[in-house]
Amino acid sequence: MDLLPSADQEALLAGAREFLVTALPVDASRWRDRDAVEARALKEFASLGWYGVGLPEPAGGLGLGAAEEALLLAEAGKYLAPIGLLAGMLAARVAWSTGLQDVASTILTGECRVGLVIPAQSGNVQLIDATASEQVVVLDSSTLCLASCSAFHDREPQPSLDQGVTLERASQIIPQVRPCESSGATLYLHAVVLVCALMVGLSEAVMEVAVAHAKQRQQFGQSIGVFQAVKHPLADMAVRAEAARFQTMMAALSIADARPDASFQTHAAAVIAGRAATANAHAAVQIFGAMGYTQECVVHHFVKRAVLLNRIIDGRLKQIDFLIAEKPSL
Amino acid sequence: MNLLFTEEERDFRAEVRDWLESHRPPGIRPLDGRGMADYDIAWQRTQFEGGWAGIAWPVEYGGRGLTTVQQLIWHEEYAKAHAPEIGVCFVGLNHGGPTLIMNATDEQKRKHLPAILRGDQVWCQGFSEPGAGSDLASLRTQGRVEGDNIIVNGQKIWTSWAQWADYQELLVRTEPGSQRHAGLSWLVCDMKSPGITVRPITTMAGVAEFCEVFYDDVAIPLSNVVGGVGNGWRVAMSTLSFERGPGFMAEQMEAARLVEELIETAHTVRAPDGKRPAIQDDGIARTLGELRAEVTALRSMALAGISRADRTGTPGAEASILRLFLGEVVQKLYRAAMEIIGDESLVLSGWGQGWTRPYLHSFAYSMGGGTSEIQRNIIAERVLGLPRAR
Repeated sequence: MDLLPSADQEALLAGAREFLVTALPVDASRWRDRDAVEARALKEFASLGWYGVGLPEPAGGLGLGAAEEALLLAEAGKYLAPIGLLAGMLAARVAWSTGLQDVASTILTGECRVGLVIPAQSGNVQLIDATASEQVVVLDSSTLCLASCSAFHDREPQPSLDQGVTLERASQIIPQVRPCESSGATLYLHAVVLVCALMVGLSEAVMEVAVAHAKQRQQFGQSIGVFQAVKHPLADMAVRAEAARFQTMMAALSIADARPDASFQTHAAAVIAGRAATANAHAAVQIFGAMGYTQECVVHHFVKRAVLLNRIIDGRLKQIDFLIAEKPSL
Repeated sequence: MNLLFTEEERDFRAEVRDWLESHRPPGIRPLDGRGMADYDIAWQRTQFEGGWAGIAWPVEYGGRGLTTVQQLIWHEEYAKAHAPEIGVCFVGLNHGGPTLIMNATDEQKRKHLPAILRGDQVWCQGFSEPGAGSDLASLRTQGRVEGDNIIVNGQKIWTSWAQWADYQELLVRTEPGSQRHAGLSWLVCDMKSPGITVRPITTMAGVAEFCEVFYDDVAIPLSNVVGGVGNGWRVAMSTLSFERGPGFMAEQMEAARLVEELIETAHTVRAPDGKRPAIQDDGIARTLGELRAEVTALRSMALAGISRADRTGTPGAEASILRLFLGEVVQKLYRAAMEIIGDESLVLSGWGQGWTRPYLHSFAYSMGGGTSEIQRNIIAERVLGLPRAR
């Protein structure tokens, strides 16, 4: 029993950090040139093998498991990794599990970019980062499927709250295009835990940004981090981040081992990580004061990404409903 | 990362389960008075005779010397077996004893350690004072060295179960005029010494679980100083890392059990509209769902804490994260219960039963062992590296 990364996993993470810090800087340079920076990063993720981390080696993957995927995405979440990373990992998994080896390999090599589709009200769907993609993963709580972007005939751009993605609305997939579907429940849990991992990274990173500010910012002749009115919300952020990280890792391990409580653990992770991401981002805005309210400060990107990630897994309330419907795991 | 237990660990779990099943004391633990103390002591004696006293103590001092993972298994099985809480034996086994192990002379160890393990010595803690709570280093109880004795005058407070204790770990200011952490000494105080007055304090939950202790020219032999005169602060802090750790798992499991019990209760009581079970009220269901997520996360965090302790040898300041979160979850649980149970919320339940008396008891969770405010300071300063106030 060990909930901390092994030596091998630490080595994997060290390599990931080295790449992420230069490939996806979380500062103004990133958003000045987002399309180019992220397109480049999405290609490089392919050469590093990220899209197939959890797939078996014969399928072109790295032969690792859900635990390693979660660890890596928690790192990527700190750098507000493009949604195409998550979508690519999920798409490769769906393609592989439905026997579409050729589709899987175009995703693994980075030739095919993937966006995300989630259900919206009145039978519509929302497309996230699908504008530059060929394929999309449709993430529905009962099933995951892979579809070509051409399956949506009435795509309509919408202003995106999160400037880090493009957003479109469309009606349901046109029926004559058959999406390739894969049996629902397990893949959905897998998707949820990967989103949780991104939220873990987000909640940790936004805390680190706020802590750094509280140390450096001087008022009343001292660092504002001395004041308990600042210190205590930061401590609460640490509690939420710690809960999110270890519950997410627990869920990832439960999925990797196909444990009977995998679904219970995963919905619990979604509830905890979902709150950590939003609440930590909100608290960070306040730590920065008026600066936090501007676009010149990076914190707003975390607020917006927290909203997006929670939405991708159907919202926190839905995850609570899933959890309360579960049998006790005692 | 893995969730697997080794074959030895699985065998160990079976051994613990069998032993607890056949030895856990029958009946309900009395919740106050001499009967409670006797019950706790008898259970400690049973554990001692079974070789389960001092599971975390080194073997050379009569303990079981379990690894942290084995301790986790012990506490998990202990909670599953509904074995009784440690009660009056807590301080001796988890604080006083370990402090002696790390700091005492051989003679001091011989006198106290075996007796603590057997349940023959009940210990209490004499640290907090009316003027030194969260700010422990401002303590003023005075110890004047006179010949072979230290003469103690002053007052301690919040001393759990002092009325049943044989000995006390007592922190006093032995250097006149000294400030803060300097000039303190850690003494073994015989609670039968002349000049000691113990006044139990009744909590809002109606139990005299802690006391004020007054010292009026109490003579304590100099040979009872542990770790040397003037080193009291270092000695007192040396075992902070010994506290809790795997023992936290029992508290997490109890909280998880209570959440499930409250969910069951919500199936039987009516929702505010009077028309359907409370669980069908979305607001109530979501509060309970959130609590379920939180106690589940607590377990994962506790396991992570054990993994951390396994690597570094101490639970570290992150233990404050667990403590703070547990307190919040337990208080949220009982506050939710008070709303869910409706008119039953007006009836005072028995101790350890129902929801209302435990609700009153739950206020202790954000105070005992360091208030939530102090836990947040520790997290901010030692985990996040924020500056201390001057």
